[in-house]
Amino acid sequence: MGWTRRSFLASLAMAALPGSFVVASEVDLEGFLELSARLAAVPRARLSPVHAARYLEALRAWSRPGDLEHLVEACRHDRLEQALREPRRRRLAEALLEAWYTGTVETPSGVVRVAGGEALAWDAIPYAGPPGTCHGR
Amino acid sequence: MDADVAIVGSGVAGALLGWRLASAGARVLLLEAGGPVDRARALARFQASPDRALDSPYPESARVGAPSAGDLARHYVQEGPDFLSGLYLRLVGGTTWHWLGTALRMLPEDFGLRSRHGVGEDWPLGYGDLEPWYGRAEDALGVAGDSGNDLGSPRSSPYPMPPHRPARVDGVVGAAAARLGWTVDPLPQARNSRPWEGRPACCGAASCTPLCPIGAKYDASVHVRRAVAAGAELRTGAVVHRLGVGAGGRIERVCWTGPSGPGEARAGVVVVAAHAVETPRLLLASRNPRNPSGVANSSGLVGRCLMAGNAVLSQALAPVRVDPYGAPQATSGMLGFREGPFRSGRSGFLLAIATDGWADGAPDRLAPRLIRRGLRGKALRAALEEHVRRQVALASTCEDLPDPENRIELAEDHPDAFGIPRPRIRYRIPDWTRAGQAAARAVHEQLFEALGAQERGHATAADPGYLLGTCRMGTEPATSVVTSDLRAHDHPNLYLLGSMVFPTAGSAPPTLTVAALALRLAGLLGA
Repeated sequence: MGWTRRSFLASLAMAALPGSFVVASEVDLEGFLELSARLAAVPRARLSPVHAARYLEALRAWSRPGDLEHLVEACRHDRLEQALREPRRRRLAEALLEAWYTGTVETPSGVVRVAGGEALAWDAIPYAGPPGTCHGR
Repeated sequence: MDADVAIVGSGVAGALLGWRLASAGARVLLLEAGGPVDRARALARFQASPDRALDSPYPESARVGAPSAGDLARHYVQEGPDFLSGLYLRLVGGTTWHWLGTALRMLPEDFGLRSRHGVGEDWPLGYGDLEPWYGRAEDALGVAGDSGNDLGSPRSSPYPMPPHRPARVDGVVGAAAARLGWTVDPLPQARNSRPWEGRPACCGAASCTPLCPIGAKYDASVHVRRAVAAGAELRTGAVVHRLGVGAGGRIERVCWTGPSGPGEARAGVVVVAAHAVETPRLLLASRNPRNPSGVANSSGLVGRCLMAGNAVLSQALAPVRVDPYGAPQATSGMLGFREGPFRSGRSGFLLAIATDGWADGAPDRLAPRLIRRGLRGKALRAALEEHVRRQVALASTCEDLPDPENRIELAEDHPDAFGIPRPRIRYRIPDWTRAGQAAARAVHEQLFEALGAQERGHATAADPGYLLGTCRMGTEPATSVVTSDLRAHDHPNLYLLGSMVFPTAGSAPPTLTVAALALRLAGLLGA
């Protein structure tokens, strides 16, 4: 199976890319949540700020400085589709979606579970929940 | 004497025996290497685990010396040529914590494999000797099944509970099977189909392994509690490492080390019910001047004839929704492939229909693959739903053959944390079993073809729930370790209880047969 998640994330630290925005030097949590909701096409209220903080921290550690900020600003300015045409930022968006869908993040010491039944993947199967639950409970 | 009966191991074998003997008034000492399981804490550990391995709720088991799903070479010293992937737990209640719960009897033909098919061995007892005890075991565990369908194993008593409703996938696969002239039958399960003896009914969420969140699936902690309530003494953290032998070959002492500190006990009768790896490990480690090859080992067969579970796992996408994750983890199977003239040349197999989709196809495992194909938003969710809801998976476990070269020895150069030699494994999958795996794969492919399924894949894999044969029963001391009553040929007060005594494996999961043997032994010992 080609990619591992680790190699995938390592590939995000690549050459600098031009941007058309003046980006903020820090990604705010609310901006990250808005970006996540847009990419996942779910209501903002569906996403836990507690989980978001964990995912944001993990992605910051792996991504090139400025890339996350660029995506957040692109989302705010309704130019997300344009930003996603650039391969490295598209891969970053994919990593963000993976985190929300799997409920796990890659850390230096390995994969860590952040969310169980709240992982977005289980929304796709309305009658089911992850192992270790009785229909999600 | 410290006890009338000392039992080493608190899995289903030791728990049932201890319960029956204590209830009959015997002083029972139940020795367990591991500790008790707190279901809520174990569940929390599993839910927090990134890989959701079979033993991820039970990290404490590996600490007292047991195989870990994530590192099978840490406890086993694997000499090959094939890798042994059998798992067991050293905890109060034993391996039933993470068993699937399929409670199937062996076939009458399984007890006469040599005389019927010219391979393997014959048991020194027949299905008829064990049949009444199967019924009592089904009552004790709480087995749900169809009493009007004996599945090839005649029965004299009904199941205590009605069968579970088949899963949707069972009907879809069943229709395809019918076009091929095959039938799908309900699998009897030690999983409540209605509230039973203080435990709830199963909610049908395919969360049976590695532990049932609500206790609807049987685990042997049920009978450990009943044994203690009946007066048995349970000592945990007691890693039994030596049996002391006295005059006349009697087992005089049971010695332990471990988290609870060293200790020993004397009992009139000693029963080792420590599963198929730890039992021979203990017997071999107990060698002494009277028994230089190990306790109970005048035949040289302690540790030999190791049998394991070798399976074929197949998956495909059905053309219609089959809705996995909506039923217990295995409700139906195809049982007609277990017996026939073919067994002279290849193994039979038990085909189970998985109700929890693909092994690597759970929504949170499949999602990354879809995301990397460029899907997101509603399209991602729709693709995920459509794929998961059409996943079909079949698992066929093939029978192993007893080969004396497949064995457990002591790895003196690899002691564990307590200084006890770890088990050295020499194992090769028999050609007879490999031929069975090829036949199983062909059946899976035919079913997928009849189903019109796409994205088909097949793989051989281990079924970790099968470890058997390492202290087999027989009539002759030169070719067996215990009698048909499970008493060691060499020692008048030593009994061995569990899957280690099976002369042949059959293709049924061993747990119900182990439970039947336990209740039968209790009867033989006066309970």
